[in-house]
Amino acid sequence: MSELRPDTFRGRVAEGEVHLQFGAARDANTVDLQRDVVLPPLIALRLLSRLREAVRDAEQRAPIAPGDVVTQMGTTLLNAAPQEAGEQAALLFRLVDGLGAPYRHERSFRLAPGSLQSNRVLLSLGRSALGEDAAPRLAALAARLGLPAALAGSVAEHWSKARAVHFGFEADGARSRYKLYFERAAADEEARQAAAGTPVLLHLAWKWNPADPADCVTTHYHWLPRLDTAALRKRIERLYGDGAPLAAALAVLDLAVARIAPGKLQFLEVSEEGSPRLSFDVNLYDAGLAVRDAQGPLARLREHFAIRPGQYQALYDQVRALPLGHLAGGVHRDGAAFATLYYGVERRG
Amino acid sequence: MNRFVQDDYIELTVHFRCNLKCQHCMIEGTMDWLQPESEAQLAEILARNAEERLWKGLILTGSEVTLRDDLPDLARRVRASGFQHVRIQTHGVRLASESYCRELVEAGIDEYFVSVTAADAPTHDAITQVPGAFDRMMRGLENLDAMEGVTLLTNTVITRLSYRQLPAVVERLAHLRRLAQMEFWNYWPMKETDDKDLIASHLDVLPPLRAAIARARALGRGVAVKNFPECLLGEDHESLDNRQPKLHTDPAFWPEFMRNGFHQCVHRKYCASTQCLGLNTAYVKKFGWHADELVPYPIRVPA
Repeated sequence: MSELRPDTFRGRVAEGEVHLQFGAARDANTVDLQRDVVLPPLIALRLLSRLREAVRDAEQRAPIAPGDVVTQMGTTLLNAAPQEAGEQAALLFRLVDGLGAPYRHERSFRLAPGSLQSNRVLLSLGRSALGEDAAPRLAALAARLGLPAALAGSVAEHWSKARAVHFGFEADGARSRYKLYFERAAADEEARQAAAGTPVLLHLAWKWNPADPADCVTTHYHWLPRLDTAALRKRIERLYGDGAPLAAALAVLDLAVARIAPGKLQFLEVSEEGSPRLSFDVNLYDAGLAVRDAQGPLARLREHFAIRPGQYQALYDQVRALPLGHLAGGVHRDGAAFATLYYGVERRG
Repeated sequence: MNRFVQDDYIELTVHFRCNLKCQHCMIEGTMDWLQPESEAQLAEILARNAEERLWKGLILTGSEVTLRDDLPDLARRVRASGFQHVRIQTHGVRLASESYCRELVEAGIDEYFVSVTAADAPTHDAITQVPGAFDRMMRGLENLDAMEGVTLLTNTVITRLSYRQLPAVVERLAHLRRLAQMEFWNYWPMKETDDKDLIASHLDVLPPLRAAIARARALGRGVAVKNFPECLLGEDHESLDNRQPKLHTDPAFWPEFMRNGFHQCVHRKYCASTQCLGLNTAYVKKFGWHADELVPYPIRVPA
């Protein structure tokens, strides 16, 4: 057995295993790694216990200065500092996976003036998959994501009236938001009974910044059922005014209504308490379009919002073959126009 | 798609000297102290294959193996131990000699993995820092292209100096009949920073890389891309093949290699890709995480 005498080390967890990496410091900033020991968590715990005993024994012979211990545990520069948004999104996935229920996974990208945001995901769970005891688990999950306490207390009440729940995440530069949507169970029946175009509350959503609980908004999604093409166009015109985003949205709408009756497109209007947000969201999945079918309108949106072509193309080429899901647009809470495309919903879990 | 099954091959570092000074050389700072595999280790691998026929091919690598004068003898020994293929990894300069090519082919070296750093002599010679290297390498490829039983592979390292020429590299080699596979290895600096300023942005590399992939495929070549985010390759993602044959090399190489810090990605914890090396430390420091350009692969539920 060869003997290794490292003067530095680090421990990290990857893929559920504990990696102990040993090496020698070359200088203040560089470590030459010599061995990567991979342990299942149980063995790592046993090792920890044994190390404690060994250190205790060693200390009985000669004191170990705490300062030395800290120095030995210094970090290496091997990896870049993790991006916080990635860790936040990973937490959402881990918690939703932990519910043990199948869910739908959908990503989206948002175009706004000078900005393309694609680190956005929506995870949707139905009532039947979650079972009857879901309320406390959903409340605990939301609390773990930093949902303000004032809202966490009413999760059970909203869930009791919901047929599905949607957890979302989006990162916009340095700011992230988690989202929690309750999809009302009564909405289908209310829409059936309502006159065409009469708003029916479908989703109530909370969207919060985990780093700042005060930065939290409540969003309402009203379904306007059975709109014909003229009414759909008029609604979108009202929200977008004139210009390239309107033309692009109407072009995508035309693609959809060429394949499916307009009344079958679920059209929502979105508003937020205390913010200028006013927008639409139209569900296009049933039209059977792919993202690439909307290439022309999307290119016009890219140009209008002054997104760098290379950045946009890199993203577009990854998703062009996926089903086109929702188109959303209008005025965002910052007062600026935007367009969001949801795509490629898939079952997971 | 990669034309070669990596598990069929074993790779052995037999030499750590070179007569070019490629700016992207991944062992530049370690060549002087890394040790090639010993004669005993080579003999052990040959004996093992003679008995068990574990591998079809052996790749002789290191720095520039054609600087070993006993290369033909080495190849004959490899063939005698039951390997169907002997491949050398080379910058190709010495292959400009037709008689040397013939000597290697007759000794049993049938696969040539040649480094083509750019599409023209000024760029290639600037990267390799040796005038005339491009012309000699091209003559070598053409020499081998005329010889029965030879298979050619090329590698073009993608750096800030070369990425714009990727489609032109494919075009420049279009006349070669025995060129089976073109590989494009995206540069990694073997440390935590891009001290030589050679890493190019993935977003800048993407259009010429995909154009090169498309053209190489149209020419009937196999294509293998290394160290590029799988998602960004879009519908060309099957070109990504980060697998390598089992490499026997100085163990001191691996701590150096680990300094790259592969497998970093903002989406890593929930992306289903099994092939992707993600980003590396130097890349992230230079260009950031590309959180708004990389799209994770969903972990699908079996139908």
